[in-house]
Amino acid sequence: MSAISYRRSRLKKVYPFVGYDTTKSEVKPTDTKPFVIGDIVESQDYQFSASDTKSISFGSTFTDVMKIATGSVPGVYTIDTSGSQAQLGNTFISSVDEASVTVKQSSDNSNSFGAIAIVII
Amino acid sequence: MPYNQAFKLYKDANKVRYAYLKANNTKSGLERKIDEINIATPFFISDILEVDFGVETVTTANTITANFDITFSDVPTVIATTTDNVKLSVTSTTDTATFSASEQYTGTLYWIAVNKKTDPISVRKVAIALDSGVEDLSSTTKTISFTTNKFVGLGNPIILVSANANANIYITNVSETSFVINTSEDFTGKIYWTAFVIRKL
Repeated sequence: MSAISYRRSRLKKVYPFVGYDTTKSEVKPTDTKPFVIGDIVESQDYQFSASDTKSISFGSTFTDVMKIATGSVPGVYTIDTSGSQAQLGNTFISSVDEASVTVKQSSDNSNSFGAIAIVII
Repeated sequence: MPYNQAFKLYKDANKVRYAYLKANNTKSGLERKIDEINIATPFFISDILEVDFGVETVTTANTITANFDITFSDVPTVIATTTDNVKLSVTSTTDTATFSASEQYTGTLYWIAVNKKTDPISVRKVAIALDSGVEDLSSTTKTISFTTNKFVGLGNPIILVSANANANIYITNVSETSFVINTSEDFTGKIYWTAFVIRKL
């Protein structure tokens, strides 16, 4: 089969994507490292009881070698779940390790927040 | 595959199919080639029985409702990030999430809903590209670049952020290559972030 001959003006039209490496005339390699987040996400609603600190132990620690490499620390993300108006102060992650997280708020309020913990491997 | 659809994610496997031109050995021109590459490993969310996510456009509003495209078996945990300096609260049912901002704003709201189960009866298969990081911040804003080519061609990711000290955090300028972290006031500390592009298969 003979090759198709393209004019330069036409080539510009058929290079529509960013991932093309013009120096090598090939598509740039994409990271193919596999990852799984299946068993390593925790999600739940929690309650501040008129205090600014809530410590949460993960239901399953993040050191299980069947799930992740030892030493991985999850990212923990929270949101106020008080209702139609946010009742809590700013919530933030005071400390986190493989087994637990301490969530704090900027003021002493009694209300709930949702949280998820995610580790990437 | 048309030329204007350089990337395509298969429905039944998370491969990207792409077209490109490659010089042939005769120097008489270029050949159009089509190839495939794995961008992420498909996975069954064994402990996460159900997951949904979305990006909502907000126009001068402080109440935003997102309708899930599945009915969760229990009320899911919903986490969201905004593109403006507002405090956010969420209430959820098995079908919807209602986000209430402290004041009206115009921008974007990114959310993900997760309902974790310990009995993996049925799962929703998704393909996911994911990036994350921890950033030291010493002012009110910082531009974060994703790992090279992580999301290019896949669309803008959903981004979750949290801090290790008191600040209201929001994000702006989300693209396939970067985003900007903003804090409500001068902030010295760490910002944790995770970015997702998820495809429901």
